[in-house]
Amino acid sequence: MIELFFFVFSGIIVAGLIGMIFTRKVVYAAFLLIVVMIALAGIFVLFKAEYLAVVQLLVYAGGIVILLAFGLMLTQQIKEGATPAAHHLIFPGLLLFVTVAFTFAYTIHQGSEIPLSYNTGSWPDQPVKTIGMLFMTDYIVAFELIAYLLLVVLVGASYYAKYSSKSSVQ
Amino acid sequence: MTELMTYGAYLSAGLFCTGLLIAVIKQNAIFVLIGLELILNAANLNLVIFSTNDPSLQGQIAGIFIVVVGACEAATALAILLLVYKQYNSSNVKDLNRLKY
Repeated sequence: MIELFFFVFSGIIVAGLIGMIFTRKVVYAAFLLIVVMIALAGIFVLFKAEYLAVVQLLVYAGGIVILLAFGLMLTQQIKEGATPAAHHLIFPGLLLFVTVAFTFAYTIHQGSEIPLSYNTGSWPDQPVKTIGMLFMTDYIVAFELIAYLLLVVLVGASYYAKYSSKSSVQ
Repeated sequence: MTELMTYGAYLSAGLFCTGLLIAVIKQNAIFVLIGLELILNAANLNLVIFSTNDPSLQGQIAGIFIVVVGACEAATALAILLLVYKQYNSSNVKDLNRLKY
């Protein structure tokens, strides 16, 4: 049953990725990105990461794609008959794609025979509670640092966006 | 590795390679951002897959940090993109060929 759901979600992801490669319209790619993110959240649930799946839905499907759509609306000129986004560097890109994909496939094929050893212990009853406890104890430094990073980035981004709109008035 | 983890690793490798391809071959800057998001999610998927049987949940916590870093990256890149668009009147990466405007 898990395999069935895994292959359904994988098919959705692969179809979305192929559509993203071949489309020339950025809006289509943004909406396909939402589909890919939702299917990825489903795969996270299958691999026992429910909390991360919810975070993925909220932050990616709800936040980042909307941000991308705003960037799209503010930067695209609407002209009749203009090709919105052409491709370039196709041969180097394909070469890079084939090389990296072959390397990954070979490595995963080699590593798939190796048994993985884990620290023994039972899966926690309440994983979200465990994650919260870990954030407040073992990972408190990383948690605070990433909170500062988010604050600084959002203040900086809004400052520069305001600066760019002010310079348009002059 | 179990069967499902192997398939998940292949899927993650496919996500990474597609993100790389999109970031290289597309001319629009927003497409490049979409490719970068795909690369970040490939890393996230790998962390989740390999922490499936790990009761200490370390991989999932690293995945949450990656999501936050991805949000920061998207916000910064879009602010930069707005400034660039104001200067060059274009979001095509081929037009961005001057260091000093």
